[in-house]
Amino acid sequence: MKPNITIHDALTNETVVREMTDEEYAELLASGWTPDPEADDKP
Amino acid sequence: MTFPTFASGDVLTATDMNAVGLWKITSVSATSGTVLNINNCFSSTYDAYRIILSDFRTAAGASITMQLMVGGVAAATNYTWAFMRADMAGTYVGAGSGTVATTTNWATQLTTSTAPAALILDLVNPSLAQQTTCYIQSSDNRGITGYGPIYGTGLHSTATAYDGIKFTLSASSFSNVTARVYGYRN
Repeated sequence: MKPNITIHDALTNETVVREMTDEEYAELLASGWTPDPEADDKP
Repeated sequence: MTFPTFASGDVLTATDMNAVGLWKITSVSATSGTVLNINNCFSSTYDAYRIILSDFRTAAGASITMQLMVGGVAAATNYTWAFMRADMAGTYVGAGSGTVATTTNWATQLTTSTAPAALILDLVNPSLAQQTTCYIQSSDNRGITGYGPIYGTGLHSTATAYDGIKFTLSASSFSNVTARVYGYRN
């Protein structure tokens, strides 16, 4: 199951929460994201 | 001018209201996921912005990265940044940086879990077609074992006007975060 993404529009004040697309999830994984990090994670 | 003191029933004049220095543009909360995008929060109305992420909780420790956006698309090149940090005992712990011109984002440490952390950003000129500067303050709020003063600065050298910002966790997922965006009156 892919993580959610929250998208807020400041003009309309509408917020959408949805599951990431395959492309967005691939981009997230490519950034080095992991679901279970070290306790002292740092960039 | 000294800001006036209002009494109940007073008329708010244009002169008084136009002297308000900080104006809340928008706010949003997220309780799940790894990415928070805020679109259309930067405009020609303001040159400088303050963004506060409060009650920031993640399922496990995580850092956070930031990217400028335009039209819902994040800019992924030309970021540089550095931060310094100390622990709550006052000992300097070290620095982090992303100094390559092709660094894909700004980043800061925000290790947290159930205890809420906070992040304050000041952005200068994101909505202008010139480089953007970012000033970062954060604290991980783990108490005596945590990091207190985390101060960073970032630069985005692309001369483009941006209208939004993207926050991405380095790991884990949001349990909660509230983001508020304010504009500094020009």
